[in-house]
Amino acid sequence: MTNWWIILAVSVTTFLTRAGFILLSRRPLPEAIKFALTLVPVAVLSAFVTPDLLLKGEQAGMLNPRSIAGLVAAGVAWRTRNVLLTLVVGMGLLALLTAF
Amino acid sequence: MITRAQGSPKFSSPFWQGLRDFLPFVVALFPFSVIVGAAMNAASFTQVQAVVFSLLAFTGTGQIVAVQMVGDGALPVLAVLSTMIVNSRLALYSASFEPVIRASPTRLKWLCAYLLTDQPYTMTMSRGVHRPAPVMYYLGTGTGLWFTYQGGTILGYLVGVRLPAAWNLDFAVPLSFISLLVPLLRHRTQVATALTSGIAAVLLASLPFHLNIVLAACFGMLVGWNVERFSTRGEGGE
Repeated sequence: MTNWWIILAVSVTTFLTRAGFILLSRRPLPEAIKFALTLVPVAVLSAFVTPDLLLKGEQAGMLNPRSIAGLVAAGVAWRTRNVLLTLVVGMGLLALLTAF
Repeated sequence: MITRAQGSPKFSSPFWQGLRDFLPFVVALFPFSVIVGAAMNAASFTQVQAVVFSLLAFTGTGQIVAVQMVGDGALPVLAVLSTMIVNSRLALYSASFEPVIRASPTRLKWLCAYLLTDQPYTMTMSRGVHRPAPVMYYLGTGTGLWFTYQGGTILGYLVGVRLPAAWNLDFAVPLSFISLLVPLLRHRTQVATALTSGIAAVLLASLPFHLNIVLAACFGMLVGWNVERFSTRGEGGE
């Protein structure tokens, strides 16, 4: 029974978080806020990725298999803009680096 | 609603374009969805509960956090609270997506809100919201993610076993974020935002409930906004 309550509560709160501004917003936001919100993708993605590269795994630090694979993948993404290639190179390099 | 170039074949509409653009992300998000499904199994959710959870909540990170905390015997209230904090970035998405969807009918807004997730949101914003039919493009990417996620969580639940950690499958998701992030780093404002947010997220990493993500993001946006203000002033405004 507890599981059902959790499912319900998580579903409702998640939907409200997603829908809040979309469904309720009436007046236009101030220009400064509007501009800051254009930076949301960059800000959130970087906040997700950076700790994942530097702090995860057994050899956390500036240079570890994850950060090296991530940096090379970022280079591939920059040069090719190819999502699939970025994923393949990143996963492949991490597999190589952690195999030894 | 569907603004389609006259005479163009059906599959080149923005919806299909979004769905097609999403395809490479399946490689990252299917394994992730499998991990979510396996986590629900491990936390003794029934098969029906797992399916209903993915259908209603549709939040990979949120579900993982919730079921892991329940599995660890945490108070249900705390599990729900943690998912709310983890998902607080969705409120930022919601606020920045609102102008894109303002003119759409209410029912469509509900659907778009339900589908609001990292990749479809970011893909639509970086495609450029002034290109034709951003909402249809968004629905295309969201549809791709929805099927990937529902299929992956079911498979993960059925397979059930913990996937070998040595495969590093969890690395696929940050990689997919990298492929979304890098093309956005075109100007110093964006670079400053990413650097600040990234460093702040590392420094704040010990905070509970992944609070570092949304705090670091706000900090990064603040710095980015200031960089933009000073650089446009120097260039005589834009």
